[in-house]
Amino acid sequence: MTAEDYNDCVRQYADGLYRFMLKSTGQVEDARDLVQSAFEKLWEHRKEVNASKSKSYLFTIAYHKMIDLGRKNGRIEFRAFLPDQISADRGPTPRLRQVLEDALDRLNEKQRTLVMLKDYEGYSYEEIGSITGMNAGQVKITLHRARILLKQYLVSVENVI
Amino acid sequence: MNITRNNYEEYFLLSIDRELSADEQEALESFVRRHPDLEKELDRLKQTVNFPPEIIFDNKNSLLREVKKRGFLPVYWIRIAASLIILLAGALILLIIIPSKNISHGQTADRIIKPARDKNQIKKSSPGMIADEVKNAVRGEDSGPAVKSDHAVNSDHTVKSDYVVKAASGMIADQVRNPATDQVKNQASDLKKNQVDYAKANPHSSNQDATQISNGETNEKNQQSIALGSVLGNTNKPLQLPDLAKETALPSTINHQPSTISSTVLPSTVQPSTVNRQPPTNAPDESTSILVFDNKSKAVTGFLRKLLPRSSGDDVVSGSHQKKISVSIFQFSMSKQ
Repeated sequence: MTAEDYNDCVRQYADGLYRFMLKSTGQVEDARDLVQSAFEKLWEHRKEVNASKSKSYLFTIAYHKMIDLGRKNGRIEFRAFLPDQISADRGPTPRLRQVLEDALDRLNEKQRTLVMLKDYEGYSYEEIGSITGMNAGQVKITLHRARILLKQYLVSVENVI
Repeated sequence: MNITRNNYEEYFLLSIDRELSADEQEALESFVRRHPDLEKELDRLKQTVNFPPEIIFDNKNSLLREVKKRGFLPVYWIRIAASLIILLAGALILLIIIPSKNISHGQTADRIIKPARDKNQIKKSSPGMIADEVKNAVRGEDSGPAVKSDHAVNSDHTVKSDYVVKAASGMIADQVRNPATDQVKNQASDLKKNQVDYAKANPHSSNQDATQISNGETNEKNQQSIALGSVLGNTNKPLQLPDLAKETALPSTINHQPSTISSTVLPSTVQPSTVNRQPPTNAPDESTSILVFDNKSKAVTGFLRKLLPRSSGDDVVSGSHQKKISVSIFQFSMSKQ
C-alpha cells in the first residue's frame, strides 16, 4: 500500500479501532496508545500489506497488543466505565443501551471482543477468526453463546423493571 | 435449508449475525410467519445487537503521514531533457559562431590585400561618415543579379567592422593598379607626385610610415563631412575626381596608404600567402564610384566598389556567382598653405 492508502486507512479506521480498543480496555490512554502503535506498525509494513486487508491487519495488531498489554499489567478485567462521549449513542433507547452495556460487561473478554467485532465492525466469522486467531466455527459458537447470555440478561432486567 | 423447531435458534443467531444468504433469510422469515410464537424470541435476540457508539479518535492528524507528490516527469527524464537542451544550445552556438568566423576569415583573405592605415588614422580621416556611406553604397549596389548573396553579407561586415573598413580602404591600391581604371591610376599618380612635393615642403609633418605617400595631417576640425555625393554606379566610368587640387593649386593629401599595413592589425589566422589576387580579365567592369565632397574642409571622400572574378576565367564565364567585391575608400583633403 502507498502512503496515500495508509492515510486513507487512518481516516477510515482510526475511529473504529479506537472505539474497539476503548470498549475493550475501558482506558482512554491505553486505547490511544494501542491505536497509535497499530498504525505505526501498519506504516512500517505498508509495502507488505494489501490495502484491502489493512483494516483487518490494524484490528489484528491492536487486538494482540491489547492482549499483551493486559497480560503485562496483570489485568484482563475490563471495567464498565466508559467516557461520557459514549453516552451519545445512536440506535436503541438510552435505557436499553445502558442495559446492553451492562450485559456486554458481563461477558468474558473473548465473548465481548467477538461481539464488538461483529456488531461494531461487521466482520464475518472468518475475519473475526483471523483477527483473534480462532477458526470460523469457534467464532460462531462463541458468538452464539454470548448472544444467549445477552438475551438472558435483557430478559432478566426486563422482568425486574 | 431445513428450519425446524429443533434448530431454529441457530438460524436465528445466524440471521442476527448477518451470516445468512438472501434465500436463507427469506426461508427463515417464512418459518417465523408459520410459527408466530417464535417471533418474540427472535426479537429478543435482535435486541442483543450492539450499535457502535459515536466515538471519535481526536488525534488522527498525528497518525497521518506526508505524501510526496510526484513531479510531472520522473527525475531521470528531467535530467535527460536538461542534457539535450544543453547540447542543442551548444550546437546552436557553434552553428552561429563558426560560420561568422569563416565569413570574417574569408572576407579577410579575399579583400584584405594591404590594409592601409592603422586605427588612429582611420578615426582621424573618417569620423563615421565614410563607414555610413560605404554601407549605404554597398547595400544599394548589391541588389544586382551579378553579386553573390554572401557578398552582401560581407559588405555589411565591412561596414560594421572597424578592422575590415580599414582593410577595405586599403583596396585603393588594387583599384589604382587595375588597368581597367587607368584614368584613376593616372590621377592617383598625379596626386602621389603632389604628395611627395608636399612632403618635401613640410618636413615637420607627421610621418607615420616610411612608405606613406602623404604625411600631411588631416585637419580634424575642418573635417566636417557635410556633403555632397555622387553615385556613378553600374557604369564603366572611371573615377571622376573634382579638379579642386588643380584649381586651388594646393597639395592634396591621400590619407590612406596601402603599404602601411601593420602586422599587428592582421588577425592571426590570416596569412599573407592566402591573399588571392586575381589578374584583370576581360569581364565587364561593374564598378561603382561614389564621391563625397566636403565643402567646408575642401575634402573629397571617395568610395570605389568593383566586382572582380574570384578564380579562373572559366568562372567568369560560368556565371556571376564567382565574383567578389573590392571596396576602396580614399579621401582627399586640401588646405591652404
